Amino acid sequence: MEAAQNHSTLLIILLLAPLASAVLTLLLRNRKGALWLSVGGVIISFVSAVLLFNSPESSAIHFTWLSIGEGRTLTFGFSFDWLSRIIAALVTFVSLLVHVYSVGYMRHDTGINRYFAFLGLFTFSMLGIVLSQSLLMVFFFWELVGFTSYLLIGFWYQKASANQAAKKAFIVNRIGDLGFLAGIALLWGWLGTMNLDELQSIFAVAQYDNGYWLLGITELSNLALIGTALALFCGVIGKSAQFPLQVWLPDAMEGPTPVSALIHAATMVAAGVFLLARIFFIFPVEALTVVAIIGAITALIGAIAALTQTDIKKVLAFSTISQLGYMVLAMGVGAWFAALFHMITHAFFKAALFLSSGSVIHSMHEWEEKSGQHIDPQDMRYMGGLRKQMPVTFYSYLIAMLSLAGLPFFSGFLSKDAIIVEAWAWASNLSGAGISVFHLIPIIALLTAFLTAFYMGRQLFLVFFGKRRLPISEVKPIEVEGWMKWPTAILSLLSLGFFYSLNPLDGEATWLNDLLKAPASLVSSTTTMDTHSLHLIMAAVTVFLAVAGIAVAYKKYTDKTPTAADQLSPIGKFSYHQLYFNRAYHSAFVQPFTKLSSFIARFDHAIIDGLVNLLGVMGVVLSQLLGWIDRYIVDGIVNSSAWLSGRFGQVTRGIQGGNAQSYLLWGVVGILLMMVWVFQFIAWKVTF
Amino acid sequence: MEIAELFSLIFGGLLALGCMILVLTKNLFYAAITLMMTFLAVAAIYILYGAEFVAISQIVVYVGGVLVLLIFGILLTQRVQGYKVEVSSYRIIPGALISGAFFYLLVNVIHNLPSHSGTSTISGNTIEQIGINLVTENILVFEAVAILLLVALIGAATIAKPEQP
Amino acid sequence: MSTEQLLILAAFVFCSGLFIALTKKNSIFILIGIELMLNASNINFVAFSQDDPTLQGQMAAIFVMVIAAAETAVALAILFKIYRHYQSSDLKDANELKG
Repeated sequence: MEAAQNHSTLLIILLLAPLASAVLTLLLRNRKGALWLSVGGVIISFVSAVLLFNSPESSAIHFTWLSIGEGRTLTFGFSFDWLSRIIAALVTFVSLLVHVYSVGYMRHDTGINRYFAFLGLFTFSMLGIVLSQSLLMVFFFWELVGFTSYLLIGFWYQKASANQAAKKAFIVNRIGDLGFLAGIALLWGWLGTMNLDELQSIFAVAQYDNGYWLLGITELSNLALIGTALALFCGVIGKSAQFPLQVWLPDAMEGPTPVSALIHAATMVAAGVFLLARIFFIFPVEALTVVAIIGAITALIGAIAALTQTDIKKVLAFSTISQLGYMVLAMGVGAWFAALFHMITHAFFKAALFLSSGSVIHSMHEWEEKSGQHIDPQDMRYMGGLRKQMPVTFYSYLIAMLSLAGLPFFSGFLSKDAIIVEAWAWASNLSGAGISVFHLIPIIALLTAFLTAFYMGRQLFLVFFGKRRLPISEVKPIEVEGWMKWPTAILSLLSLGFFYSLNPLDGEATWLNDLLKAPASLVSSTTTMDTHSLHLIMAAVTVFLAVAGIAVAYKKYTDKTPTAADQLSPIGKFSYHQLYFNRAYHSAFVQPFTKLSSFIARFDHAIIDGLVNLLGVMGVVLSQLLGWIDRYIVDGIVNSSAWLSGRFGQVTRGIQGGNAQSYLLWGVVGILLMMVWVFQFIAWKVTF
Repeated sequence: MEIAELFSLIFGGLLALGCMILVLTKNLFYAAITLMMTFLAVAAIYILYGAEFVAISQIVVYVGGVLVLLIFGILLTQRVQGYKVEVSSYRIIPGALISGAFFYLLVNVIHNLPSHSGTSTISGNTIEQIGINLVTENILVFEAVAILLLVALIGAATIAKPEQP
Repeated sequence: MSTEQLLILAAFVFCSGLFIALTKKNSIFILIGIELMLNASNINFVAFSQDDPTLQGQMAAIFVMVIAAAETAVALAILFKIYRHYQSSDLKDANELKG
């Protein structure tokens, strides 16, 4: 009992340390104090998260928030299962490294207190999502995370593009969150609970019977359950930037690069996948298929869009979209563990990639300031040959990039391989013996793997190899300071495969697999395939594809400048403009909406304003009338009373004229009165 | 009619006349001269009513002191040359009403006094009696008044002294 | 002239002095009024001391006279001061007591 108490305290410390440091940072005006405070807060949080690994599985915090009607109570709570623990540790660890990195990256920024406060707030909110046990609570933190993301994307609020991007991210996320909220409401309506544990125990005994699911005391039609699951999936689509709401993530790169690393690569966007893992058990097979298709589409379009970008961060952003699609695809094919595994490995190597790119941008920016020449510090066409100048960054980048490309001995290989194997097994399972349309999904996954290797190789060769393409100058770009390069190096080292599995070719042999147990699913998994042989085949295929992708990239891009956007071939333009999604949304939603708005504005102007103006004129006439009454009648009374009191004042003022004689006069009057009084009433009864 | 009665009527009439002139005149200088006349009439009345020492003091102090001071004051503060030293009055009606009421009240009080013999019982040397009184019964008052006079004179000199530049 | 008549005469003198003090504008005139009032009171003292062998009334009259002299001296000194300050011996001009 005492241990449980301790763990509850630890949990509260874990959750509240970043929030407390954020609030204090915002109150503190001292820059240096803010740094130590926020880094300290995250360290406390991380240590608590690690200490929590020892807690017994059962311990948790519960409390009833409110009860509605007949026995419907809303319980809030925090859970302690291994999924929460590992993800909490991951979040705090990456957050810690990003904090440390930010110390260097944001050194010269004036809004550093605000920045660290937002980071702390984000860490708090993200931990809230990870630890919450009630879907409603998840939703609260979900919105908080979205809000902090908004704040941090728009951190440089002086830039119009940053403001636009922040708004876009916020609004696009709202669309998904609407579905999420609807899904929560549906669950509450049908099952009377939002508690994930209770939901899990309800679904654990679910029985399918002729189009209906028997869930404990209630039964639910399959269609309703699919609808609910897909509504909840909407939230995932929004937050994890899945097709068709993926458009906000590339724009979100307007935020500071450490923020991109923490929020828009490692943690927040992965929250969608995390949520999917949490509610995995309510997805029937039809819904899961939709999830897999969405994930596959996202993976493919993200990879295609990444091919031709020239902005170093945009490439990584599209890569993130693509990898998130991978994870969602994995969830869709029932590879619960593989999806989470990929999420964890992706968090490390993608954060490392972003931090490396941040270092490069930082270095380019400093070069720009020192040499006095103007370049776009994020444009890869100005980079090249940085391998020599920035060795630590280069090796960090290389490890992380190879991991993302899926080469053996790196973590990305393990998780990606697991996903592809499971996807293939799933497709074979559904299509029986032969090849069917379901096999498109693993094939898309393989194609994406190839494209991933290609665009990452392209970036590697463009940035670090070849000649320096900077304008002629005596100044050379230099390596960044230790605050920035070592966190990057740590993150990339954690992308090495042996941290996860001693068998470099088998992702399922990782120690994480023992800890993370997939919940009972509604989908009966009867894998008949021999996954071991499949593993070998798929491993060979993925390695081949990755090497091929890098080789093609080497052939195509080493020592060459990528062409500008307007000189691209139609296919290249198609990729560069992100498959024209923004343009399509603009003409499909934004333009009709603005037209409707302008029509309503005209209507408003012509008719409603007319009515309002008529009312206004009537009001003015009435006011004139009232004004006349006021002026001549009310004011008359007031003025005459004022005049009267004025006259009275004049009269009484005469007594106090300051003239000694008038005082004498009044004194004599007083004496007279006294004499009259004395003689008349007191003394001799004088008769006058 | 006794001669004393006649004199008292004459000086009483002079006194009343002097007061009337003082009330009515506008000329300060006339007022000063009339004031001397009233003072002298008062002194005569004192003598007639058995207060010789008071009468002498009246002449010495008032006519010889106060009046001279007043005339000095008039000469110093009024620009005599060129135009008449005339003083106007104001608030005549309230002043007259109040004074009249006061007079009416006093007359009523006097009429209601207990009756008095009206004959003087004092006789002989009042000056001796006053001298004895001054240094026996009223010694304290005498000395207090002496100090007061001294203080008043020094004070008057200090106040009237021209301001230091 | 009986005592009663003398008292009435004194009352007349007093009221004349009062009237002068109340209505005249010039400060020296006001002093004259005050002297008149003091004289009236002295007449009363003398009148009441007629049948008093200890002469207390006359003593009071003498003290009143002395104090009147002192008062006149101080009053005139103040008048000079006021005159120098306001260039006027008109009491209406010296109305800074006004609240």
